[in-house]
Amino acid sequence: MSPEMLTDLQALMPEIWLVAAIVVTLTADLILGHGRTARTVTGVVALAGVVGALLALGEQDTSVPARAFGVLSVDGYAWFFRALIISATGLVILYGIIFRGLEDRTRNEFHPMLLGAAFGGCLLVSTDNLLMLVLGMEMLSLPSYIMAGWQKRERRSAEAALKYLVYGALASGLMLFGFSLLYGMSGSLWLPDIGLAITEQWELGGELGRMLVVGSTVLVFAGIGFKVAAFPFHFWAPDVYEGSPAPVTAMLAVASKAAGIGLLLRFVDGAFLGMVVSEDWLARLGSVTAVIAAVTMTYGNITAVKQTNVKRLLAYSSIAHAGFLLMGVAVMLTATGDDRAAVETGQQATLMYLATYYFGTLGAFGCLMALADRFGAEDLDDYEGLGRQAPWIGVMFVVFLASLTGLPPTAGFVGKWFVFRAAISSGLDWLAVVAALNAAVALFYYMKIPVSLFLRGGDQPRVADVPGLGLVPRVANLSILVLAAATVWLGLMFDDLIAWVNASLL
Amino acid sequence: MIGLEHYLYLSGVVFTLGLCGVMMRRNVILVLMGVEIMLNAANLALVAFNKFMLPGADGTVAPDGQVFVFFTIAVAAAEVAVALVIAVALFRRLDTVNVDDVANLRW
Amino acid sequence: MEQLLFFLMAGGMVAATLATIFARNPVYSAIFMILSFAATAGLFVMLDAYLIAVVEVLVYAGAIMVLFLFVIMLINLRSDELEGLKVNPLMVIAAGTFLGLMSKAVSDLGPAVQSRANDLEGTPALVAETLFTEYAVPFEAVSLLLLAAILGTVVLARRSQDA
Repeated sequence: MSPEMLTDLQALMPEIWLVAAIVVTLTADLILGHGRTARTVTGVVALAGVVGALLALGEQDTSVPARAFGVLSVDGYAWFFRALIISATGLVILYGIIFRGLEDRTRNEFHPMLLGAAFGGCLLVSTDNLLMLVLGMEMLSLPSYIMAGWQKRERRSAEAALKYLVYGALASGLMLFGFSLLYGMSGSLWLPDIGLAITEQWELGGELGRMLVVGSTVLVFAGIGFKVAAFPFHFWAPDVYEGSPAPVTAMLAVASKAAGIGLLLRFVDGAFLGMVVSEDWLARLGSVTAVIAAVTMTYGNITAVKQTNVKRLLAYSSIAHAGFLLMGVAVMLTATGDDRAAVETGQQATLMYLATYYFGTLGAFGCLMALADRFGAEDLDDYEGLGRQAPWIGVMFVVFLASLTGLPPTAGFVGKWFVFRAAISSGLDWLAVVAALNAAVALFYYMKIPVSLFLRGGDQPRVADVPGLGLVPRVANLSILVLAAATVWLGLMFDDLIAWVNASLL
Repeated sequence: MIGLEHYLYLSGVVFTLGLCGVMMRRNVILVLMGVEIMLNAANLALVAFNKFMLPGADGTVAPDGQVFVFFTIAVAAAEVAVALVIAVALFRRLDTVNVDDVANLRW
Repeated sequence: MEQLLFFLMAGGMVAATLATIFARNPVYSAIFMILSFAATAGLFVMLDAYLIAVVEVLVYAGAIMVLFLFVIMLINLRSDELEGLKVNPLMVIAAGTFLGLMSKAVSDLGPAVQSRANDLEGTPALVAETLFTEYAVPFEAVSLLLLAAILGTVVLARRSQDA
């Protein structure tokens, strides 16, 4: 084995850990059946795979961007997204173990599905080759479709899987056609070459040539828009988020969205910003993205106000957060081509927001599942008085919701502050105003949950407490506690986070 | 003389037909067939582009487009298998494969 | 000769695709779709993409369509559930516009392509060389994708014990 190949393999180590965990969990499931032992073994192996992947990731030095096996970029950017995706998967595995909705019989096969989706997400964010992008996207999506329908006996779950699948397949069809046009325009599957070709086509091509650029961009953006649930491609999201089993919803809202944003930023940066681009084209694209961001967050927030099912409420709010994430992308596109500092401001804002969104959302879903696990509570009405029954979870829930709203002193405030600052610095003042109004609306509906938890209801809760916490729920609660601590800590001491994000820019 | 445009017009027509199939048929199986038609049109465009690509400095052309098609066919096969099993699971539960009947989710 | 062949294949492909999306009976749709894929494979041969043409027939027309037919038989729709295309005028206009824009846009393709066909021949040896060198990692990843598909299919298709 040549030394180059060893280095390449080292770069791929996190993914190899994930694949190894998939193989071992499947084999264990085959050998041990689906009894209690098998459940313990597969759970432990899956978590060990995630920990191994994170440790392998930690050993990587990405200060100098490198390539592995030709198609993978080993840079800080990929590192950032892989860390988010893999660690989120680890937490979701933990949630999956306590989640009551899964049949015991299918619990073991759930881990390989999650790990497979994480593997796909990792590939998706660490490549700038179109072929690899398509493959990573499918590798992430296919297990997600299956997991959305995991509770076969529940009608909502089966329907969610179908809906997700039909729209997902349509999105990948549109994106693939867009990619084929890009390939024809540039003669290459590599994003940097495509960036050059787009610039040339826009500057030198006639009216018709420009149409080709617009057409292929629209097709590709439609595909990515589906993935991150941006308006007007958001309509699958609430139903799928509500119908899927709760751990899967957490996975879709965090890991899948992070991978989609990772793809979007790399695409925007590679295909549109790699060189001195036509400012005219970028300005148009930037203003369209800004409008989409504004509409996405407004739609998500306004619709969330009416919701009474907590999972559905979080689903709509997750659409709204996609709008905030797109604000950073709009800033990147509005910045004129050779102004690299402005591009980086937008990118930094998106990554900061994503990191803070990660803690808030995973934590909120953890609390949701903990409450569902103990009390079977799903609706706002069920939550009445639960804060007094389970004060720890209630308080942590409030912390996460405050972070999602963007209240100081939580991490969410830092994320919001960065996107607002980026928008204002690039002259998108109107977008910042819209976003501020949206944050106020978000405060209104997020606070319905703590009001239900602590202020409503008598001394007797409406739903029964299931006593006797096992070991796994305790570990899960502990992990939620860690997330809550991180949320507050990052809200106060965010220098490390900024340094990390700055090291992860493209 | 058949040129690149001919293939691209054909690909565009077939892609549009596939899209129409997805949008206007209510049977899930037919919707999936529409998606497959769209993917097939994209494959045709990729191979045609590859055949009419300007050769590189050494006078050869890399078969990138064809390799891409190779992968999309594999991906499509996996996607169809998963899609059909989801349709079957839904059919067992609801006794229908009509997307309009999935009204519970406010299509 | 070349023109005749092209228009034969292209006409067959468009007609078969039209029949696919219009047919009331899904079985007919599936069979017309096999025809459409066969015509595509013929076009691939005309483009000198021999390996892809074979794969298209084997995987698409063979495996995928058999799977479709199998599921259609399994579901066995009652005749009152059969229905054709619901024509939505708005969609037709949108599709027409898209097609018009597309056909105009491809007439100015930029410098990466030439009007004359190059001498690329998609023989198995050539495609395999690229596949196993430059794209070795995606090739391995596809195996995992298929594994995930198999696993998911088994889990979802298996009847629950107590259902």
